[in-house]
Amino acid sequence: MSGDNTNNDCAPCVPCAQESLFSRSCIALLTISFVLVGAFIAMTLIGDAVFYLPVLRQVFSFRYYPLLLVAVPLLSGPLQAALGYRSAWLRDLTAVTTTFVTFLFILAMYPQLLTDSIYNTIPAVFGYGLHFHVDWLSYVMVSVSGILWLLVTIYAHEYMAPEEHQDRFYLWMSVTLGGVLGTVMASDILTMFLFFEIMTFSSYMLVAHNESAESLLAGNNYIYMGVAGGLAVLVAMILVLFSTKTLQFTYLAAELAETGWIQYAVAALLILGFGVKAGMLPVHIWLPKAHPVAPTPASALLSGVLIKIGAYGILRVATSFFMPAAGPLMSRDNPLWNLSHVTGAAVIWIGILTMAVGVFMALQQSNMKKMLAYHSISQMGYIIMGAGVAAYLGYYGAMGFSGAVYHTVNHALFKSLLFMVAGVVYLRYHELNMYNLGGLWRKLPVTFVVCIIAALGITGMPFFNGFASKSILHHAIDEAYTYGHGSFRYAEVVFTIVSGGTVCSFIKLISYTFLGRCPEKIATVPNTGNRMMQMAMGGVAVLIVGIGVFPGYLMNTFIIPATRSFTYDPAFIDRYLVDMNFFNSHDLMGTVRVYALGFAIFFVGKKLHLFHLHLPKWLSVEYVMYKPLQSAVLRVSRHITTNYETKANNADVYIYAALLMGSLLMLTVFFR
Amino acid sequence: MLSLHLPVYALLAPLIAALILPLTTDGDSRQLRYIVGGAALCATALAAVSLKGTLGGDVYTYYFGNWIPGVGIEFVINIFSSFMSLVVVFISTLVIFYAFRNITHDLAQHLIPYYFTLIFLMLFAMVGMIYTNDLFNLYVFMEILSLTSCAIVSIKRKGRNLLASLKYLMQGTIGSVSILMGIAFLYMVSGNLNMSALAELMPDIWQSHSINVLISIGFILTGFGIKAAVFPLHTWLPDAHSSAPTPSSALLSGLVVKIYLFAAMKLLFQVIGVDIMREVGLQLFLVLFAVSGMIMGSVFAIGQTDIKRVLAYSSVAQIGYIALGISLASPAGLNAAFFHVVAHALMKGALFLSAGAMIFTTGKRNVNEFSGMGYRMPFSMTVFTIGAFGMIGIPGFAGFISKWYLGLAVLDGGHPWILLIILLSSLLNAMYYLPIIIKAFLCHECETVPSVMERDGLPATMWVPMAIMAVLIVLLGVFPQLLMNITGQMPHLFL
Amino acid sequence: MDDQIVRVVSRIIIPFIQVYGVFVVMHGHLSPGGGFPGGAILGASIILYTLAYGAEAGSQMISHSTSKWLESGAILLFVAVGLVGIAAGQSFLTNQAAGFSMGELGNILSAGFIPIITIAIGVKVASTMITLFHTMVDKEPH
Repeated sequence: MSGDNTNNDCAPCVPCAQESLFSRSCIALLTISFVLVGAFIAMTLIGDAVFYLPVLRQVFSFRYYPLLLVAVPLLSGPLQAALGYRSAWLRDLTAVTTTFVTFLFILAMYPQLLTDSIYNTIPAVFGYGLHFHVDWLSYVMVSVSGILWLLVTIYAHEYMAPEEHQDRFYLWMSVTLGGVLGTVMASDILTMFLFFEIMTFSSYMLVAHNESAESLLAGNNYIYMGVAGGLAVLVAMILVLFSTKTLQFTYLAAELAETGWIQYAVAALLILGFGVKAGMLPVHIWLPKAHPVAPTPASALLSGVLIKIGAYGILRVATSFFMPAAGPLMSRDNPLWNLSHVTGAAVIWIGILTMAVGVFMALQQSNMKKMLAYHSISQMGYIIMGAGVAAYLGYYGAMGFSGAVYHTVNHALFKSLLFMVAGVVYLRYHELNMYNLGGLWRKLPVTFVVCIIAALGITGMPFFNGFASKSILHHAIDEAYTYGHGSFRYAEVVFTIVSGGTVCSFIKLISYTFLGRCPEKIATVPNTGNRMMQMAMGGVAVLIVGIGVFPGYLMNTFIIPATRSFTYDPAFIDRYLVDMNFFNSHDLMGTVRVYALGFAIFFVGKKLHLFHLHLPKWLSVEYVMYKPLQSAVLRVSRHITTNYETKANNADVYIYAALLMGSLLMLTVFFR
Repeated sequence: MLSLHLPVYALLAPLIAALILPLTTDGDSRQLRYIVGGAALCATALAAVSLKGTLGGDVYTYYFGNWIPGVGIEFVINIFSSFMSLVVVFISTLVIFYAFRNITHDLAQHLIPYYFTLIFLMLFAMVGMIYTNDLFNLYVFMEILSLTSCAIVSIKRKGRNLLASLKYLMQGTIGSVSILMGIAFLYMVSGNLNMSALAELMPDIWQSHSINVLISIGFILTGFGIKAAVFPLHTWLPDAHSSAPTPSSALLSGLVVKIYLFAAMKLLFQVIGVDIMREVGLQLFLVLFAVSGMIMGSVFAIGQTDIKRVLAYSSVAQIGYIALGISLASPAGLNAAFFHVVAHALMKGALFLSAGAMIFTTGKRNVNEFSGMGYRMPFSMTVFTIGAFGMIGIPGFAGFISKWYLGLAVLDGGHPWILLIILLSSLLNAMYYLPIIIKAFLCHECETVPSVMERDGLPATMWVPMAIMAVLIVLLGVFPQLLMNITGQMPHLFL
Repeated sequence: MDDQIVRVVSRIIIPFIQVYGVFVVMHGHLSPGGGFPGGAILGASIILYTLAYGAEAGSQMISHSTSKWLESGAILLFVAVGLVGIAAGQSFLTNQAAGFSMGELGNILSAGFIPIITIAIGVKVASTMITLFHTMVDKEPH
């Protein structure tokens, strides 16, 4: 295996013996991981008693896994940077080992969740202490982040080899993992905010990694919007603390209902703040800029995990701040659901809008990564819509909640895989424009197969993971207009059209990139193996197919316990969610319809050259809202400064005199 | 060891040092450094020990000359005065150590002893102003402070400095005279200059001669507005703080303007009293000026190109925060204001010291020339980044805690719209700090940028104070209770 | 100035001016005057000398280092007097209770430490005026 590597693939000046050591270690770690995952699945299916075997009891009853999960990546980052100074492959091996160890800890946390969720606290920090709480929702997010980070880190070794400043990249990638894990395990909103900001700033370093002019512009966009989103969450946090005297993620609908307009302000600020991270319309504009300029492992993680944190934030506040506590009198019509109801309706429409705009823009792109970025926006629209339905239907929101969480997991897998595919193409041929590619199925066979698997996943083919989550989301939106307002019928129509558009877009991607004739300059590039990258991609593909073939496993083991931990109607859950038959005729027929629609759009589009239509620049949200805002602020500042600064400085005595006279007048005349 | 004379010793130590220093001849000698360093550390130690005595909430009064209460000059030693004088002396010590090497860049050799003389006189005046309980004594210390702070700006003897210092002097004198008028109007009807005695007489004065009190409030507010650089009376600050040598800028921005705010608080809250202030109803106007300072300071800062001017305008914005906390006149507001005084002194000190270190080594002042500075001087740039993140309000740094508590205080006072202004001002802060940091650390196409981070090459007396400040900023950001426990005891002394 | 008349007259007058200055300083606690005006008079006498005889002669009479020591020494004396009060167990700058003899009202040696302080202030003000004058007149910095 190592003998196949030519100088294209080894890191410069690294002896290939070390490369093979790295490869063997990665293969070993990945195999162990999959074996452990298999064992894990087996144990969950056999029964809980297995976890109490004496030999494993010590491991499974360790109480401080959350703290370890946060500390290990945060500390490993500087270690990797320091190691990288001496030896690149040792640093990469450390990175992979760290993510592997983190994943082990994640697996080891599971048995404690069966009895009770895990609580950890670091007292006295910030005056309130840092509180961690791992419940089922957090566990889903943590496990998908863990496995994805492991696979992407293995992938990153070969991809990042020709890049500069690799130490910096690995440092910030590790810190971002720590930030992500901290955010999803936080049990109060202040802790979440701390790790959220850590995550924003460390991922900025990943986005701006290339230091090219474009990267810096995209990075600026990302960080300013990230900071603005964070500040929105901060204001909401202060309002919540002031109104309810608590920062914990507990059921606060009762307290918030008494605060009048503050509850709506809090909801709007939280949705907006987390929506920036989630790529929600209209604060999504950083996404299509950041993904093409970031190195592919960073894009994979950005789309795969980080934007999900935004959706997680929305889900978390929807299931705590806006949700009333469970009680004997809880029902769907309880007035305490009002805030959830209103917020949910708004979020559903925002989600639909996001979906539609995302896929529409994606169809116009020729740059592969930009197209995938817009698809991320569109798929996040699905997740946000699911979260919206969960909030809107209140007590009956379990279907929307499950759909959102399931689609989070699935999207993390297939979107990161798609980015990894784009990365392989870019690494090999330095070309991202799909119209300039073609015929790659012969040159990159493994990549072609995994790309098809991922595309089938994202478009919702039965036996691939997307089918399950899209079906649930479809049921959710159906319920929205069954139990709620009739206008959501149109939302369902948009849902179907967007799914069709997604199919079309991936037909376009695969046909232009992999099928067809190979252009001259591509054909001449030799075929060399990027084994580690292929292995990583293969790992994700296996997960996609695995979840697709057994969609009920994820539901029953993780998602349904998650819904049960919130105030959702248990009868509803039992009737509709438990042991759901995914492969029913209704959904299968729906899939056929969607694929037909997709093919139809593709052929019509190709015939009429619709894909080369570009919207005029001035029609984008960016032009209408952000550019004016940003340039206005800068222009106004400069204008005020140049015109008024010297004038004010020279008029100082007059200002004083005016103020003195004014204040004396006011005090003496108006007061008396 | 806890003697009541300790605050007086802490007051006298800088004075004695200031008197001995002009007798040394050489500006670069060890002798000078031992005297200066020794005196500064001595003063810090004395202030720290006097703080220990007041931590339980005890209040002592020191009668100078053993005069009976109400007749002579008094010092009030409570947790506010002892802690704030410790903050002043400690941060001045850090800046003084920094100045050992840094000032040789800006000043001629023979002027250096005089520079330290001035700084010690300034320290003497600041400690005196914090402790004093007599109105005229306050005025005398205030004048000493004004003159010495003008002098440490003009000592550089360049054209810009002289102009800036002249403007500062003129504005400062107008401010001082205004305050003196205010004091005179109060003395006119009370016949007493002692603050505690005056506070007791105030209800009667308010009944019989309310016009005096009103006019006095007007003069005092505008006078302290000038001296504390509250918008729109801040116009002297950018020139003075940006043209002064770096240690002077750090002291002026970090400490001097806050002392005037403390004096204003003493006059308005302790002498005149919160009840009269509320009756007059000035609160909303004070809040409006504070809020406009927060926004306009940042607006002006965005348009600047000289790094020290950016930091000077940023000070105007931050003084707006402190003024907001004070004008809310609630325990939560005053608590947040005191916390921010300490936090801002540390952050602005770190920013000025690191900017000064960069100017010292590379000579670059223009923000557009900072490309790649993070590779040439990583340590200084890291300290700058820590200070800047604190200013923006990133959690984990001291500035976040101030904004948090200020936000809670604002809601407590019933003005939720100010929360949005705080958010906007944080965003504006980000808009002028982040580009500097980004340009310094991430600049690919910059010429002459070393590919690996170099060492700063700063002398120990320069980087140790910067490191101490940076560590304190992060420490206070992560464990704010260390400071909150002390500042929490202060509001009730005023309200 | 090279004028012979100014020189001769000032040489006669200056001692009288100085005696008057000393008188004002020393009687500060008894009559109008005290450290500030007395010191100004003393300083003016030296300035008159400098004006009449030139800058070098002036700086020879009271050199820069002499005036530096006088300035600092005077205030240090002030601080030391205040510390005597602390040493005696009272506050800073305590007068009678620190053991300074009050003497008889109307005598020069009365009122505790006030004459000592007045002399210190007088010396300080005089030397400050001389220093300021020299700084403004001198062409080289010192």
